[in-house]
Amino acid sequence: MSVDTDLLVGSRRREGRAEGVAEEFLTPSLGGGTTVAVVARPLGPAKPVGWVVCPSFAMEQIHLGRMEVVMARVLAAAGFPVLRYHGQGYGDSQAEGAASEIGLASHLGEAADAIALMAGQEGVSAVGVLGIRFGAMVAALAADRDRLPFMALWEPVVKGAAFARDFLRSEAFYEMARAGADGPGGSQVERLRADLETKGWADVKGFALRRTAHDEIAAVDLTADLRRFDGSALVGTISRSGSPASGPTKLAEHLRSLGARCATESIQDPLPIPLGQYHYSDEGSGKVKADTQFGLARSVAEATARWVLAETAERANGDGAQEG
Amino acid sequence: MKEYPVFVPHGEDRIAGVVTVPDEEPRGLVILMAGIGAPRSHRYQIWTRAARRLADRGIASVRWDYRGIGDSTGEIRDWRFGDPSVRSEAETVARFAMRATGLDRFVAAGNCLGSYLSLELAGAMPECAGAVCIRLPLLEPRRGKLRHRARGWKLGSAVRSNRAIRKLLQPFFGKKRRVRGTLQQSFARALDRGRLLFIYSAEDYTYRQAVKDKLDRLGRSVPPRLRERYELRILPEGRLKGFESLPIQELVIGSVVEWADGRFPATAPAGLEGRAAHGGR
Repeated sequence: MSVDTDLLVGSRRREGRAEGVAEEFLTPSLGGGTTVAVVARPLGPAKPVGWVVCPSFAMEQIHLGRMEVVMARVLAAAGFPVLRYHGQGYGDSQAEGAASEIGLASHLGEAADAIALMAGQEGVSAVGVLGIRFGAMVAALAADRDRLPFMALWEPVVKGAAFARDFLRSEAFYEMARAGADGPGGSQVERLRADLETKGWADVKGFALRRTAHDEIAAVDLTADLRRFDGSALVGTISRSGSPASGPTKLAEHLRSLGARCATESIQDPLPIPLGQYHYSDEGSGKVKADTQFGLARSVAEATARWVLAETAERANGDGAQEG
Repeated sequence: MKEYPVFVPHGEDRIAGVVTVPDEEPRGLVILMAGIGAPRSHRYQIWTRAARRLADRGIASVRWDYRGIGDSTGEIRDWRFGDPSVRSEAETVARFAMRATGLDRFVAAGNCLGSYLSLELAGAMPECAGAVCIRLPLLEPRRGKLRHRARGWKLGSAVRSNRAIRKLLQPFFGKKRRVRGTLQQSFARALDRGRLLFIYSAEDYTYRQAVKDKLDRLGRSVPPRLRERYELRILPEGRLKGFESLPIQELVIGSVVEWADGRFPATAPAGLEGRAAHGGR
C-alpha cells in the first residue's frame, strides 16, 4: 500500500505555541452521519467549561465560518476547550447538501450530539454554546432544551419568519441582478413559494431548501419558544450605529424574565457588507479583494472571551460559596 | 474511500485540508482549490462531492483551506491574484498530498483564485499533468481607482453615455487589457507537459469576447503540436459564479471528475510511483 496512513493520521493535530492553542481534527458521528470537527484546547491547563459552536444555515455556514474559528481559538487561548463541526449536508460531512434534509431539526440534532461529545471530553464538567445569527438561534434552543449553564449569542435570529422570508428574497435579488431590471424580480419569491408547496423543495441560489425546513424555521420565535433557560447568557449585537436592534433587546428582556443572567454587548462596525453574506470586497483597483470583516471577527471573539471569563469565574465563585 | 483531515506544515503556519483516498490503490491525484473566501469543501460542498466521485474512480484528492480561511492558521485581510505566498501554499499542499498518496503526478482544479493557482501550478511544477480552470480571471482588471470611484459621479455617468467623449478618452482609459501576472508563461509551460481545460459561462462577467480572443492568441503562441492540448468550454446558460444553482453544481463536478479521470492511467501504477497518462485518454 503506497498511501502513507501514518503521515495522514499523524497530521490531524497542530500546536500553536505562540497563541497557546492546540487543535485536533475529530471525525465523530453527528446527526446520524460522520463528519469533521475540530476541538481547540489551551496548551496549558484547561478550565472545566467546554464550549460548542453551533454553525449557521445554508451559505451563512461558510460566510460566518471564519468568525467562528477565530472565536474558538481566542476562547481556547483563554483556557477553554471549544468544539466546532460541520453539520450534515455541509463542508466535509457524510451527507451531501442537495440530497440531505438540512433544516432546524437537523441543526438541533447535531448540536445535541456535539454537546454530548464535548461533555465527554476529559476535564469538562459543564458545556456552554455559542452561535452567530441562525447558529445563535440553534444555540439558544439547544441551551433551553438541555438547560445548559451558558450561552453566547451574536446577532441572534430571534424570529425565524423574518429569516425565512429574507432567505427567499435573496434568490429574487440574485435573479434581478442576473436578468437586469426586466428580470423576474419579486415574482421570483412567489415562484419559490410555489415550488415549496408543489415540489416540497426549492433551489434557492444553489441551496436545496426543503419545505419542512422553511416551515420549521419560520415558526420559531425565541421570545416565546425559550421557556426555561436560567443560566448565564450573552446577547451580542453588531451594528453601524452601535445600538442593538429591537429583536435582540427583546430577547435579552425575555431571558431575564425567565431568571437568566443576561449581559448585552454592542459592537460598532461599518459593516459595508451585512453579517452572514460574502464579505470580500473589491477595494477599487480590481487587484485586491479585502476581507471587510477582518477586524470584526477578532472584536467579537475578544468580547466573547471577556464575558466567558467573567461569567465562569462568577459561577465558580458562586459554587465555591455554596460548597463552603 | 477514506477521508483524512490534516494540518499541513507551511512555515510557521498550518494549512488545513482533507485528503480523500479510494479503498484501492490510487491511480491519480487531484488538488482541489476554492475561490477567495470559500473553505476547502467550497460552496455547496462542490469539492467534497467531487472528491468522493473521484475516489469512486480510484483517484485520490486533497481539498484545502488557504491561509486565513477555514481551519488554516494565518490572518489575511487583502487578497491578490498572483500573490506568490498563496502559490507557495498550493505547492506545499501538492507535495504533501503526493507524499501521502505515493503518487508523483497530479491534476490541479479550481475556480476563480483556485483556477489562477491551478494554471500557475501547471506551469511551475513538472509533476502537474494538467489543470481545470473554472472562471479563470484571465485579464487584468480594467478599472483603476479613479475609474472605480467615478462610477458614482454624475460626470462619469455623462462620459459613459456619450459616445463621442468615450472615443476621445479611449487612448487614456480604453487600453487593451493584458493577461494577468505570469499566466501567459504558465499557459505555455503547462501545455508543454500536460493539458488544460478552461470552463466559462457566457453569463459570467469574467468571460467575454476579449477573453476568448486572448485565449485564441495564447493558443497561437505555442507550437502547433501543443495547441490541441487545451480546450475551452463555454456554458450557454447559468452563471458559474458562486455555483448558485443545482444544475451548475452538477455540471462543474461532472466536468472536473470526467476530465481529471482522463488524465490518469486506467489502473494504479505498479510500485510506489504513479504516472499520469501523457496526453490523456
